[in-house]
Amino acid sequence: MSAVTVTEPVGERRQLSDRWPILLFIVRRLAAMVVMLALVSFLVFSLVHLAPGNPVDALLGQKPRTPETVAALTAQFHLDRPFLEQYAIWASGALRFDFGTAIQSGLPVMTQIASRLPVSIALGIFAFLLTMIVGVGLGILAAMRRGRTADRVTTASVVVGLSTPTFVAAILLLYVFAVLLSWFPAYGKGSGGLDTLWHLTLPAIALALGSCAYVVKHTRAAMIDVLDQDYITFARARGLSRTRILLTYSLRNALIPVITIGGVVLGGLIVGAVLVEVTFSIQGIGQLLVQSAGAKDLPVIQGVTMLIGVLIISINLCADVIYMLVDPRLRLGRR
Amino acid sequence: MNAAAATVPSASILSVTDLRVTRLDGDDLATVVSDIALEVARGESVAFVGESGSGKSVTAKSIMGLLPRALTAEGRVRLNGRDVMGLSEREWGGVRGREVGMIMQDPFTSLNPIQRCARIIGESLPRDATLDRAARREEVVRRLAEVGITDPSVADRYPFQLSGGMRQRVGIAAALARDPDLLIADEPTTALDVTTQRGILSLIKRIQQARNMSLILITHDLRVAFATCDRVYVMYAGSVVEVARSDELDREPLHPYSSALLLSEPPLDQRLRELVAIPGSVPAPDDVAGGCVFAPRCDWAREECTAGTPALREIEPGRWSACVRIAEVRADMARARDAAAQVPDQIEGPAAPPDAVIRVEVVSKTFAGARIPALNGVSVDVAEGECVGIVGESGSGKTTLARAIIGLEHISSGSIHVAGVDVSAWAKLPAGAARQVRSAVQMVFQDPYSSLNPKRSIGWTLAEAVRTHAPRTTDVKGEVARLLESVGLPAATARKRPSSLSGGMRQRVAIARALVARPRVLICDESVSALDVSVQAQILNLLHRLKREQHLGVLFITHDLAVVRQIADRVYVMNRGRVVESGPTDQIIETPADPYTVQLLKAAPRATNEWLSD
Repeated sequence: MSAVTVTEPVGERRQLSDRWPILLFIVRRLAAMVVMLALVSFLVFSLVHLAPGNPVDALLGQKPRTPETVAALTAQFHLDRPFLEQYAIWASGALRFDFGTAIQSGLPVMTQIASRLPVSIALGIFAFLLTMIVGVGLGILAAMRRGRTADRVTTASVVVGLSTPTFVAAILLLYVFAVLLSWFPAYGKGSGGLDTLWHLTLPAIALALGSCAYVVKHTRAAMIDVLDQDYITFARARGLSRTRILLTYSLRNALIPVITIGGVVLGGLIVGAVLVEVTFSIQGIGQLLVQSAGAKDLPVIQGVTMLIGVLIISINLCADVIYMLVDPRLRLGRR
Repeated sequence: MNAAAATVPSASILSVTDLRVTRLDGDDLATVVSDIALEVARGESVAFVGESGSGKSVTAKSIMGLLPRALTAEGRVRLNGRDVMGLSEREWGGVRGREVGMIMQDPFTSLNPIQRCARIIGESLPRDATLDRAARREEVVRRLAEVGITDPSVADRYPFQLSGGMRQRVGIAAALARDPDLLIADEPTTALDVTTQRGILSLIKRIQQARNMSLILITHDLRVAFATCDRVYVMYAGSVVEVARSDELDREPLHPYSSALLLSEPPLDQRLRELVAIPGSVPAPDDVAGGCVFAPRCDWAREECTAGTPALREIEPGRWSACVRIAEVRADMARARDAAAQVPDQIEGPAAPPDAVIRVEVVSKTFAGARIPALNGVSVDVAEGECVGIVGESGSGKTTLARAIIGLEHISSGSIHVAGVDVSAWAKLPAGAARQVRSAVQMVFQDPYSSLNPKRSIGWTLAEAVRTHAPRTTDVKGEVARLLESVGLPAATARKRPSSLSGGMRQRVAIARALVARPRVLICDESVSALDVSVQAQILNLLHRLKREQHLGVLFITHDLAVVRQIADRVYVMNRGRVVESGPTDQIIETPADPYTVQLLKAAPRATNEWLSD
C-alpha cells in the first residue's frame, strides 16, 4: 500500500469488473472439466482391458463361452479393432448417453441407471441436508460455547463420528431402530412421498454421520477463527447489536470456508451411498454398482462410474462458483 | 490515589480508579495492569504512552468492556458519571459507539472483508435514525467527506480494494458514526506508512477539535503524543509512572523512565554521538511488584525505591510522578539529558566507497503480472566499514532489493556484484562462488520472533551456523560464547530457547548468527522496527560498534529517517522502485532535493503541534 492520496482513482468499470472474472472463471473451469472427463472416460473404458483374462472373458461374465457368443461380443464391442478406435466408438456413444447394453439384464445401461437414479438422489440430498444443517449448527454452537460443556460434548462426538465407518453405523441403526424398536422400516425405498422419506430416514442418518462430524469440526474451527478477528471487536466497539454481529459478521465469514467443505461432503456421500444402499436394500445406483461388480457386468460398471465422475466434478464446480459469489475478495481479485 | 482528578476541570467524561486487570494463566493469576487511575475531561485529548507490555492497550479495552476472554478487570470505570464496569453485553450496546468509540490499530484486519464501505458506515449510524435508502446513502457520503474521502464511489468498494490509509479513514468514519463523546484511538497509525500516519493523526486531531470530543490516543511514540494531545499518561509495566501536560513533559520529564524513553527516541534533526538505550527490557508487572516498577533498569535506583509500591505524587501543579527520589535526581536527570544531546565533534567522513563489496548497477525487476516494476534502474554501492541507509515506504522496492542481493529474487535486468562475483543469476553460480558470496553478505531480518527456530536452544542455533560457515572450528562452544559476547549477551544465553528471550535479545542472537560467517557486509532489513524504542537504541548502538570495531559494512533498510540519521553515513531514498535521491546522510536530510524526500521529512513525527497543522 503506497497510496498517499486520499482520492485515489476508483475504477469506472466497477460494474463490469464485478461480473467479468466470474464468467471467465466458469469458462476456464468448464474447459478443464471437459479435459478431466475425457481422462476419466479413458480410464473407465480401459477397465475392460485391465480386467484379468482377455476382454471377451471379462465381457462374457457368467454366460457360457461358445463360438457364437464370442463372435457376437467381438462384433458388439468392436474387439477386432485397434484399442484407440474401440475407445473412440465407446466414447462417441457415451456422449449420447449410450453406454451399451447390460450383460445381466439385457436392458440398455442408461435405462437401468435412470430407473435407479431418483431414489439415490433423494437419499443423497436427504443426507446432505442433514449433514449441513446439523453439522453447521453444532459447529457454531461449539464455537460460541468454546471450552464449556456443550463444546466438549460436541468435540467428543466428532471423534466418535469420524472414526465410525459408515457400514458399522448403518448396521447399528438398522438393528436398534428397525429391528429392536421397529420405529423405521428395515429395507426398501417405500412407495413415494412421505413413505419414501420414512424409508430413507435411517439410511440418510447412517450416511450423514461421518460427514456431519467432519462439517462440525470445520465449522467450529472456522467460527472460532472468525470470532477472534479484529473486525468482530471493532463491530462490538461500535455498539452493533449481537444479532447483527452474529449474522453478518461471524456467520457469513465463517461459512465461506464451509462451502468448500460442502462440495467435498456431497462427493463423499455419493461414494458412501454404495454401502448404505446395500445394507438397507435400497434399489439405487450404489446397489446397482455392487451387483454389477459381483456379476462382472462391465458396461454397467463403466456407465455408473462415468456418472459418478460427472457428478463429483460438477458438484465441485458449483461449490467453487458459490464460493466466488459469496466472497468478494475472490470475485474481484485481492490486490 | 486519585492522580489526575485534581488536574482537570470537574466536567470529566471518564474517570477510572483502582483499575486492575489480571490474566488467568493456567491456574495462576498474572497482573497485567494495577492501580490505574485516570481522568479525561470533556473535549480534552489525552495520550497513553508506553512500550509493549506497559498495559496501555489493555487499560483502554477495559474502559470499553472489550477485554479478551482470558483477562478480567476490577476497579471502577465511570463514563459520563455512570459506572460501566458491570454492564452486560446488551447494555454495552447502547454505550459503545454512542458514549465511547474506538479506532483499531490495524485497518487491514478491523473492517469486515465482505461488506462494502457504505454498509460498514451505514450500519454504524445511530439506531434510532430512521433513514430511507437515499438519505442513508447521503449520510454515508457526508461521513466519508468528514474523514477526507471526497470520492463518493469509495462507498461502493470493499475494504480490500482500498489502501491502508483509506481503510483507516473508513474505520474512523464508522467509529464516529454514532457521534461518541469519547474516542479511543489504539495505535491508529502503527500499521501505516509514515506519510499516511501524519494525515491520519491530523485528521483525528481536527475532528476532535471540531466536535469538541474527548480523545484517548494510545501510542508508543512520545513525539506523536506531544503533537496530538494536551496531556500524557506515561505507562510502564502495568503502572502509570508519570502524568503531565505535553509541553511540560517535553521540556522536563519528572520520572527516570519518561526521561530515558525520550532520550532513546532517535532525533531527526541531528546525529548523536551515541543513543541512550535503557538496559534490559520491559519486565512482567508481577516481577517488579512491591516496589518502583522501573527500579531494575534505573540508573538512580536505591534501596528506598524497592521498599514499597510508590504512589503517584503531585510534584508541581498538574504534574504527577511515581518516582520517590525525584527531588534528589531531578538535577542529575537534566544533566544526563544535556550530555546525551551532544553532537559528535566530527562524523566519520563518508568518502566514496573505494572498494564496494556490494555493487548494484541499474537493476530492474518486474514481478510476473505486475504493471509497475518493483525495481526500476536501481544502483547502490556498499563498502566495508560504512553504513549505507536505504529509506522508503512499503512498496518502494527496498526489501526486493535486499532479497535480490542475497539471491532470493531474480532480477529482470542490470547486474549485481557481491565480493567481485557476478550474482545476477544465482542459479548459475558454481558452488564455491556461491559459498564465497554467502559468507561475504549476511542478512538480519525484521522479525526476531519468527527468524529463530523456537524448538532449538540459542547455543544449538549458533553452533549449527558455526559448523556451516566455519567447519574447521575445533572449539565450537568457545566460538558460540565469543559470538554472544560480541553482541553483548552473557554466555549463559546459549542454554536458553528463543521463547524465554525478549525481542531485543532475539535480535542480538540473529545478528550473532549472521556474524558467524564473518561477513563483510550485514544487510539489516527493518531490523529494529519490530522493537520497542529503548531496545531499538540498544541494537542501533550495537550495529554502530560492530561497524567501528570489526570494520563491518552495513546496508540498513528502514522506513524511519530518524533512525537512518543516527546510523547511516550515506543514504539512498527509494520511492516506487526508483532511487530518487542519494548522498551523505546529513546533506540529504538537511537539504533534500527531491520532492518525495521533502514529503518524507515533513511526515517524520515531531513533538510539536505544527507537525500536524502545516
